[in-house]
Amino acid sequence: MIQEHEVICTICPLACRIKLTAEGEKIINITGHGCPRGEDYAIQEFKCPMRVLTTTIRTTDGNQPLISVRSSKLIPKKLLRECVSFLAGEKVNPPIKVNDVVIKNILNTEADIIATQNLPYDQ
Amino acid sequence: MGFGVTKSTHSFIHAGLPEPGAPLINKLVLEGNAMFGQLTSELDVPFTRIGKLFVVKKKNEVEILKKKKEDAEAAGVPGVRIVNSKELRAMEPNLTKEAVAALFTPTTGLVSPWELVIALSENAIENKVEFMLNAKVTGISVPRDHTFVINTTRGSVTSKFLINAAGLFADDIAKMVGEDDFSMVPVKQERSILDERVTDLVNHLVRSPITGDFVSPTKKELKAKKSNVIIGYTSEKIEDKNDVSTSREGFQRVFNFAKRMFPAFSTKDVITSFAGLVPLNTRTNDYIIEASKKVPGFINAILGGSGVGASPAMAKLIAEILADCGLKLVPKQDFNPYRKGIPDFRELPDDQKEALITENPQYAHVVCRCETVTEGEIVEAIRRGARTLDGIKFRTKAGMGRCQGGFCTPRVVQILARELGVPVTKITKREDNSQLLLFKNKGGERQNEIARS
Amino acid sequence: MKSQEVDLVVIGAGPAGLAAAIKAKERGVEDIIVIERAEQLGGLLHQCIHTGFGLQYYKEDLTGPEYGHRFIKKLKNLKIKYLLKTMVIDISSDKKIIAINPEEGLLRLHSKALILAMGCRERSRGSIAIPGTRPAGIFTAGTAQRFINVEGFIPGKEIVILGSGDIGMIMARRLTLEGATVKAIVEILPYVGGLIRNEVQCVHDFNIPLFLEHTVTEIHGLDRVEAVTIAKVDKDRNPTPKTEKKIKCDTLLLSVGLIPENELSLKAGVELDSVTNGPIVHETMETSVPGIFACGNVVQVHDLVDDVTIEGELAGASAADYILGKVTPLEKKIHIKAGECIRYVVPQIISAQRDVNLHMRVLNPDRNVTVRVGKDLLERRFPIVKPSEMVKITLPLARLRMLKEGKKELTVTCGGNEDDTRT
Repeated sequence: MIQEHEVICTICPLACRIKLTAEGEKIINITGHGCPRGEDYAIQEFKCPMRVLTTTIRTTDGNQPLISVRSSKLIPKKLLRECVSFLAGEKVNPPIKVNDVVIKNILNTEADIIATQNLPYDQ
Repeated sequence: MGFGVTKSTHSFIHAGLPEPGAPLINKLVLEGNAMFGQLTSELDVPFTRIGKLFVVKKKNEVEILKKKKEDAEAAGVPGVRIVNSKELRAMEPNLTKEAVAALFTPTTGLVSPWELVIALSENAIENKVEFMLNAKVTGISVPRDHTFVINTTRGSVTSKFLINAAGLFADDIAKMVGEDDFSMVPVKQERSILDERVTDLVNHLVRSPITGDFVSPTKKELKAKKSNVIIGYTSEKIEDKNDVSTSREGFQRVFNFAKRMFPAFSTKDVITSFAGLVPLNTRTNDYIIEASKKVPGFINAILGGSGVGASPAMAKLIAEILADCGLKLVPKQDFNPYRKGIPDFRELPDDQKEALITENPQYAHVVCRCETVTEGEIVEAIRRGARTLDGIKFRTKAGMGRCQGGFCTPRVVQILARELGVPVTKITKREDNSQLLLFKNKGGERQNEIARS
Repeated sequence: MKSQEVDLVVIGAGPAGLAAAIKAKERGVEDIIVIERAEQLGGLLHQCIHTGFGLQYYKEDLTGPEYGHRFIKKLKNLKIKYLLKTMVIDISSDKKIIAINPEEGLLRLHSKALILAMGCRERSRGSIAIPGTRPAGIFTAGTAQRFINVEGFIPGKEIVILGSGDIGMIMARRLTLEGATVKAIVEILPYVGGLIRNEVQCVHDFNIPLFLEHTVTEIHGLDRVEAVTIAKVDKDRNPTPKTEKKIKCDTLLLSVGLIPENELSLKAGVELDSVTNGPIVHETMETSVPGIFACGNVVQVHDLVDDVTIEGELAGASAADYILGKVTPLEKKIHIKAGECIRYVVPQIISAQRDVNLHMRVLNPDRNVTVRVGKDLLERRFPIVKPSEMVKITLPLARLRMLKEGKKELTVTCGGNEDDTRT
């Protein structure tokens, strides 16, 4: 069955509205993109939308109960909530520096969870 | 205490311009006004006589002012006079050019009623009065020996004399002893407060003698460099005693009046709005301050509009009524009329600020940046009984400024939790079910919720 | 009581203040104190844990804390003095500063130059006059963000967000990920207020109902929020009768605007622009008071932190020149005015003696427009303009030299392209 999908490209402020026609999983046509980057983006969005995960993780430090973290690379959008759920059960100990890996290869995504703040904050 | 009707407005301590058919109101407001200076000075509560201007815009309305002046002079209200447009312009430079005349009552004052109630209660406690809070009265029985048994949600109390000062709910209390010839009806008032930056907009309470709408400063002391402006009106009677909601129509009316009177007013300057209720009784147009004829020892002390100003005089009257009822009153030898409030850090001169900080470094940690309220004041407020965000707000003004708690709320919540020894999630805005933050995230509770969903 | 003499005081250690202090030090100012009222450096970057920072300045997509971290490291490496948990309570036009903190009590400073970098505050429920009750559960988005990302508390379970600016949309995603249900984002304009990227990644990704051309007309609930009523609005932004819809919720988040925080600026006699609510500034970021400079959100609300950093560096460099006596005397003073379709332009005053970067916002979204500086001094075409995306134009000195003698004003306008065949 042929279906049309609309993808709003977020790569540049033009925000092209890209129309992707597909039959099942096979892409038949892509129009509306203003550049090749947009085309790649639309294909990825159709196949498996990817996102950066940014969240917080608990610490064992009473004065700084959370530190902020991010995924080291894009992870599948459909796994975002599960990752947050998983991280809710984790706690990290000081000392931690920005860019330290706190969870390696979260849920087999090949992305690590890295710290974006120091623990303790003032180092 | 004072968190019902009392806290919901600024109180004008009226000069006592007489109203027809309300002899008790007229007498008590006039007497109370004269007592207010000493009372507030002893209690360390800010009070200023800002003076009131009843402003009219039409030449034929000047007659109304003249009549009011006559009645006021006959009643003994001090200093009342008619102000012509030239003097009016000097007194209120920002007032509309359409104003033709005004009636000026110099003794009209202004107080924050919650500050007064907090001060009165602290002073009462100091003088050994017992308070039972969170005690809702569920029933009153009058056994044969004329001793009241008052049942509450926190136990029973017995007493020979009972003063009904339940205001908006005074009818419920009166019914419990069989007095049911009146009801209490709420009248809603809506108010808006302007940013401190508009501090020079108005100098006195400026009011319409016809509609009652007004614009007024909230503080006008010599050393206070800042003052908010409050604008407001009073509506008709409403049904629901718990309805303190604001309305679009209310805003429009308040804003329109302010704009007509003060063309420089802009809605951009409004930082918050709220509504409060004035309790009126259905039996008379007057207060009900009397010993019950049916039930010996039961005394109704029901005020209404202008009640705060009347209260000191009313208290004297109640004492006389109690004596008439047979209560032997002997002046207390060690009565302490003085009470010192929480230091107002922002208003202190620099050397006193430094002295306070040396004594207690918590006074050097500013928590509310809009009103410059320090941790020292907040901790002192908690020591004196504040347990909620609103409790801190009304005792220290933290959260009353232009950002309305945006910056200080997280910090005040942490201080409350720390001082009271309770989890942050238990801190409320004002008791009951007004919990501020519902969950601690990533704790066991939240994990289970996510797992279940 | 005597004052401590310093070269430069910077009020605020957010991205603007950090950039300014670092640049001033690099330019040769020795004696700098940065004063910050929060418990840590970085300002609001600390709680903005999402990405989108540094795309221009570092050509990387960083989180707020990561972006802030780079400047904090530089500040510390340069050994610039800073005070935390310190509130400035007074400043004067002769650069006398009074600040207080628990360690040192009341501090008096006197500096040669002062940089204002206090950022902004959020507009509250009270200032937009939403009718209804005043229960617990109403938060501005930034305050909620602090609770969630720094302290670890979720304000509620069922959330309605008023305002589709970036912070509102970001919080919608954050709350959803943390297990709450965002029942609606309500936006008064017919278009989303923030970046498309956020609309996709925060609203569409999580299927959050978006109500454009709607507003909250009443809040319900005595102790805690129980519901809000929303209604469609007409072109004058007034609620349309009979379009009301009640949404059950326990939390209302407000993302309804930011206001530059200039209460201290006023104490120093700094003149403010009534449209930006920030100081009127010269192209050097100097305010109407000589030696007092301003940068960042305190001057104008920015969309990108990268622009804040550049503005901070400009202020820092200018302050350094001022302190070190390297100021070029002004020959000309030209006022930049906002003309047709332009809401404001910063800086408001230029010297026409060097290149200048103009920052502005349009009044309405549009496509295929030309922004003109003066009648024919400079024009730039833009395929898309939106009020929520700052427009930046560089006005080169070469062009400025073409200005007529005695020209005191330049108006910036935005209009259709001349070769456009629009109806």
